[in-house]
Amino acid sequence: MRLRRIIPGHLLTIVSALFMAVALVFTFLIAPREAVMGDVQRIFYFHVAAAWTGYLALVVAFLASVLCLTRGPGRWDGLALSSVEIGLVFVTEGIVSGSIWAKAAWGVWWTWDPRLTTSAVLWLIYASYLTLRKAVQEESRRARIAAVYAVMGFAAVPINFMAIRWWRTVHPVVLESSGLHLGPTMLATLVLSVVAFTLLYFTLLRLRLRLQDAGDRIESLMRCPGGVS
Amino acid sequence: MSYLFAAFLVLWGVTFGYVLWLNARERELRRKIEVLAERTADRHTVS
Amino acid sequence: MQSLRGLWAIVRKDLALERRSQEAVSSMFIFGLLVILVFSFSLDLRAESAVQAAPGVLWVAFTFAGMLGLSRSFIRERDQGCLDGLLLCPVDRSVIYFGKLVSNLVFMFVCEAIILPLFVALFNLPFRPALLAVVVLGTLGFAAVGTLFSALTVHTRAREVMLPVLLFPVVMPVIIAAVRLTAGLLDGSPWAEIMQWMRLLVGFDVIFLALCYMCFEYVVEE
Repeated sequence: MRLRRIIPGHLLTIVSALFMAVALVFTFLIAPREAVMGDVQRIFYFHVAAAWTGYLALVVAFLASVLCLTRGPGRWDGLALSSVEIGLVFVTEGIVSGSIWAKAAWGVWWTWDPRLTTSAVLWLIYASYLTLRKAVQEESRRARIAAVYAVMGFAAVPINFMAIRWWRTVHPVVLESSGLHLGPTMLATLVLSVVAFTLLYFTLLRLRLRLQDAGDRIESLMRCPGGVS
Repeated sequence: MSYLFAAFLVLWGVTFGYVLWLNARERELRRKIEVLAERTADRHTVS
Repeated sequence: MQSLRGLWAIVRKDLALERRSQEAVSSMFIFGLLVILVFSFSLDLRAESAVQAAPGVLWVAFTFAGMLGLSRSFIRERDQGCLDGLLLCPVDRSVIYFGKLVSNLVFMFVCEAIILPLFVALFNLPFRPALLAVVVLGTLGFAAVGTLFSALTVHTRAREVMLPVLLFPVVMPVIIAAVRLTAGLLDGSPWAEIMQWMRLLVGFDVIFLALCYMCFEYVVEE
């Protein structure tokens, strides 16, 4: 992938680790203790970052899928698959941390909050994508079928969000999603966390893509050993 | 407070879990390379 | 004109097949009815709470029954080699999509036409003509995505399971909107309150019809 050539791998990993370390420091030491909830509120920074990255992965997967359909599978299919996998990881983190946050803040494990519910739908879409890939037997079709589903899934997410948001306003939930007023330090911590997670995403993506490439090369060698792949 | 701990445990657990899984797949790929290497070595000796 | 004739040919073929065997419509209808009955037993619906739960029950029945019909739609084609035959026809791929969509819609409408009155009678609900519009639009959105996904899952292993798994997350807005609209209409809520749901439903239908139409050829090409 072009990304690899522009940014040497080790540099990305190191910068990513650095940002994560700084974000951790900010989250635990520098960000002020929240008035209402206390220290538990610190979950918020990484929860938002994880969720955001989960959605970022969807955008990447969507773009890769569109390219896969219009320009032919090749590297784009690998990118879509990698992004969905990593996206699943981040959305899982987002949902679980969100659930723990909800329990700590409002005493319930789950609220039908639009963001949490949409994330659950996103999780399902990711999981279905991966299941779909496993279920398609003909290799020639797999990339295209998965790509179409990714495109549909991407279109579904914003509409889902709107629908669920309108649905919840009919029964106003007493538990408001985040009545947090972000002071400047908190905002800085949040931004740092988001950046750190985004960098982590790209680091993982690079790693995953390398694995994908190696796997593809080995597959093609196994199919025609000694031949030119 | 234990919530805070639990949340971060999950976050890092899942992330590292994924990295470990990737490592496992890499090991699998290495194994396949060994198989391939043997195969090509055989073909050379045969032919 | 060529396209319309092709579309009509596909619809006619499906309808003719169905008229002879009646597998799809009968199984869909019975399943939908079963769902409604099971829910009315298991939820212990008394008069007041019935109106609360009823819209949801109705749409669960419609979607589950619809799922049955949708999955058979392309599976039957593939199993009898018809899919290849269809692809060889000198028509735009999208014609196949719309043809299948129309026949799926017809089957679903037939079932719904029988289930809906039974439902209204069973739960002693007031009937509102606007309900028909909701049913039509909701079914349209559901079938639009469902037809595409049916074609998608034809090449997978656990086909019958894959379709619901893929379809539900994507089609949820339709179900939410349809249920809310049905509830609002049965309640007698003012139109202004529920209008946003109609907008969502129509918006979804438009967007996804276009999207599915565009994606269909990628699914079926060799």
